[in-house]
Amino acid sequence: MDILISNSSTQPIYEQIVNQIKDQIMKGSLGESEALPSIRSLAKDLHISVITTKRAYDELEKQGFIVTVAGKGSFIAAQNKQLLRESRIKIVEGKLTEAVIAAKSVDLTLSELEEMLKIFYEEV
Amino acid sequence: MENILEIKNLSKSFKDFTLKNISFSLPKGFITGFIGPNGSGKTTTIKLIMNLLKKDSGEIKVFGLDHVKHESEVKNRIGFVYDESHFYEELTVKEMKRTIAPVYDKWDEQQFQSYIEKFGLPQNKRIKDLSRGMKIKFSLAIALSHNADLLIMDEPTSGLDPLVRSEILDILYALIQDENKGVFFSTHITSDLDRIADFIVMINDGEILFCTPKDELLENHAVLKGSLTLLNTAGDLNLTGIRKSSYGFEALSMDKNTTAEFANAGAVIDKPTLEDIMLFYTRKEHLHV
Amino acid sequence: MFNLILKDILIQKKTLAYLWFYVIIFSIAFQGMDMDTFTVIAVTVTYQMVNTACAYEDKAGSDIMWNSMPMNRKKIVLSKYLSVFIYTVIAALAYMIFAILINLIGIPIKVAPITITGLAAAFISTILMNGIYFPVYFKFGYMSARVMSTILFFILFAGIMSLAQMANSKQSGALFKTFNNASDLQIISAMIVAALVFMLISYILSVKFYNNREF
Repeated sequence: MDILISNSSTQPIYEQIVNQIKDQIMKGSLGESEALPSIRSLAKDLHISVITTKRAYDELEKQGFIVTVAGKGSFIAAQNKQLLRESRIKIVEGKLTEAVIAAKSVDLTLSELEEMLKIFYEEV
Repeated sequence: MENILEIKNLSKSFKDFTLKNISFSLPKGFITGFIGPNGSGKTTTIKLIMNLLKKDSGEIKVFGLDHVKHESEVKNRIGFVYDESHFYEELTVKEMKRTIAPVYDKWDEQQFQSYIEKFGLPQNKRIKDLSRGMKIKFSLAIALSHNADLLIMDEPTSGLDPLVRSEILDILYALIQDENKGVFFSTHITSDLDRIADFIVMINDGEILFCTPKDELLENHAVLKGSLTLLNTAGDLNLTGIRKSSYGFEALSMDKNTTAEFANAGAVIDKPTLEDIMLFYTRKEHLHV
Repeated sequence: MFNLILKDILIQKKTLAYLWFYVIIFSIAFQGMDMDTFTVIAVTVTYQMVNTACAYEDKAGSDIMWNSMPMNRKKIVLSKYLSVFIYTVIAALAYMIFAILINLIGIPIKVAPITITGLAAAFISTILMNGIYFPVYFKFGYMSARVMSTILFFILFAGIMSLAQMANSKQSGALFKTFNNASDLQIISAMIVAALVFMLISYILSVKFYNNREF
């Protein structure tokens, strides 16, 4: 898990952590049920106060992104699958729109575009 | 949240200084910074906790125990690092340790050896031949080698280079992984506390100004800079430590929410550091409405 | 507490050299004089070592360290009192080694053996001196006690010289005429007991002073 804190940002540190973890959940680099570091070890690694990391985790839990089990720690919440899928689909739609616009600008036909899509789908 | 340290109505008078009825509590599992200008009473407070000075009145409880009635038990569980080393300069590191180790019930030789190795402290070197940084590290090694639950530090980082200071902070981070331990860190070098501290207690002229979570403190305050006309027309509450010059004024707003109108009028609003907070609170002029 | 006494000796590693200085110089200087050289040496060495140990405590500001640790203040005081005896024993050992060496090498210096009266005089003198010094030291600290200690030493040095002479000579002064019927051993025992009582009182006073000290 990569978290980078900026001291000069106007955003409070806990907010930066919340956003970065959310991003990683969205991108899929943090998977469902994956364990998060404890608030204390996160504070140690980021060189910030324990109360800050606790606040970040509390906020993430409030927003439904993680669950904290007493005595065990914090984990990425499962219910995000739906949310994740929907946001992913949105990203695909966005990228497809971009591709269509770019294709039209160089006069690619729909069938040429479909051909390209097929090749890439099978290759990647 | 249990309190690792509780101070109630503590008073102590000297010829030219008085600690006036101070009270604050520190929860365990956290690092509390104790800030204040020189002469504000930080060292006096710590000496009173350690019973090096006798209090005039008030109550001090460490781990829930009265610090005098259970002095021996309390001191067994406290590790201390002061700004001056009080070791015998003629002895070697090893000899000094041999003198101290038997005093503590729960001395852990293995822990001590691992710290010595980590710090690169030469055991057969005489203490007078150690640099200041090494002496502090030695103090720290001893403070952390008897299973102490509370670490009290009085200006441990003054005069140390940034690398050594960073090493010491790393040790504190590692220590606080155990939520049953606590750190009480008194300093006027607030940059060390800006990131690591969970709580801040500020003292000035023998009085406690506040005892709050650090995040809250930094979020509620803002450093304000603007034109003099702005200051006169605004008539705002909650500004402290105002300094005027021919170019404008600077002040600390104690309630960031009220600075919105200042922003609209072209003032500069900055995130405060602990040093800003300490500076503005201890400046003599205040503007209250 | 014994680690405290050991510490007092350890920090004086270097100054222990002076010990030999006193043994040798005094033995030579007091050649042929009618007094117990050993007593003088023992008292001087003990004085020096007590003073040096206290000086190092002051230099380090060790009070602050020990009192921040779970160290009983009584133990701190007791270790200083007991160290006095240890120093006297060290002086005796050094004297004996010196005597043996002199005999082995065959240097023509007369080194009188340690007598019981000599040893007793040494103990009593050091008890008296430190019995007065320590309460001042524990109440006011090393720097303030230094003046007292120097004055004490010079006053008592004169007294010790005459005490040493009395212990060795066959003459009995006015004081001894009173105890004419009692044997030497009984006199010495009585004096030792008195000295120990004096030391006990001094110890109690020192503990009281030190308990109330602020740093």
